[in-house]
Amino acid sequence: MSHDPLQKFVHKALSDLPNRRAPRSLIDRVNAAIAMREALPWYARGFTAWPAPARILTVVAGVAAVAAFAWLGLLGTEFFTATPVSEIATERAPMLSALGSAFITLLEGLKIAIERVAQPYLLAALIIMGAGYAACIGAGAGIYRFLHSHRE
Amino acid sequence: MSDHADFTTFMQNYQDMVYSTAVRLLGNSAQAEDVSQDVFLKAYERFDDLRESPTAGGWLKTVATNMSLNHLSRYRKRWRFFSEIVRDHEDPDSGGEVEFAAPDNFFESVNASERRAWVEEALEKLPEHQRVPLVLFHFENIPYDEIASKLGVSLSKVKTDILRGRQALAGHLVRAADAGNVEANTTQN
Repeated sequence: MSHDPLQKFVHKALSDLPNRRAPRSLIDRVNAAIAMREALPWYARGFTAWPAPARILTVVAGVAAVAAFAWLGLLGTEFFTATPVSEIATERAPMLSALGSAFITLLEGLKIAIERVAQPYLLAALIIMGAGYAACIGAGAGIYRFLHSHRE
Repeated sequence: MSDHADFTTFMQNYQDMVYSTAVRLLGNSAQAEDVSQDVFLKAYERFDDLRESPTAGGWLKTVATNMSLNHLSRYRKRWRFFSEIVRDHEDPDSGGEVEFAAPDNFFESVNASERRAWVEEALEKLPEHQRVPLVLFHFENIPYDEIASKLGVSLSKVKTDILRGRQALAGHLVRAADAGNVEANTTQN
């Protein structure tokens, strides 16, 4: 500790302070919160409070789900790109094939829209809209700060 | 004794320390009670380890400090954009020099409870950016560089804030003493 008298004085004044008394309601509040938590079924509590078998099963199921999604994704890619499979799918599952076509059409539409947005006038319009939005936020914040600083 | 009764005893032993840590950092009793509740709920999850541990008090103090700082940083992030730009101009005690010789007998004529009340009140009056590093330095004995890293600010800012915090705290104490003297003289007359 330094020999600065102010530092010495403040340190003594603060470190001599005893603990403040906690409110009487604190223990009751904690006990009520614990009782509420314990009344919940295990699956509604935090993951760390779950029984070990349930946690292990959940992790295994999660990994399996991710693997299944990845496999389905690969299958889907093959389904819509490889001609023979697509043909088989069109014959055997026309509904799925139609959905796939609709998805591809949607993607193409999105691509065209992005290309259009790249036009200078559209970019300019977007920039103006963004600047207007930022100006509104800035003006609002400025007015708030001005009023806030003159309130007290 | 049941686990539940044990935990209640555990809370009775540490509640004042946990609450004091939170209230001195937060400067707000309602928020300090909320944070203290969260600290004990966290302690309950680890009660099997904590009940016999000689470091339970230290663990609780660290958790109370960290949770209070997290609470402050959440609150600060939420409101900084709209309300904190004028902080330095609003705060009359942020940089003013204080005529304070810090004599050893400053509290000589004051009884212990009055002295406690003055210091607690002076601490509560400090703005957050001075109170928090001051409390961490003087109550928790955390060095400057660690405070800077905990608060995510520069070392020089921590030193400046602590220095100004001390001056402001001393200023509040001098004013409290002056007010006390005026009151005593009025009563005598």
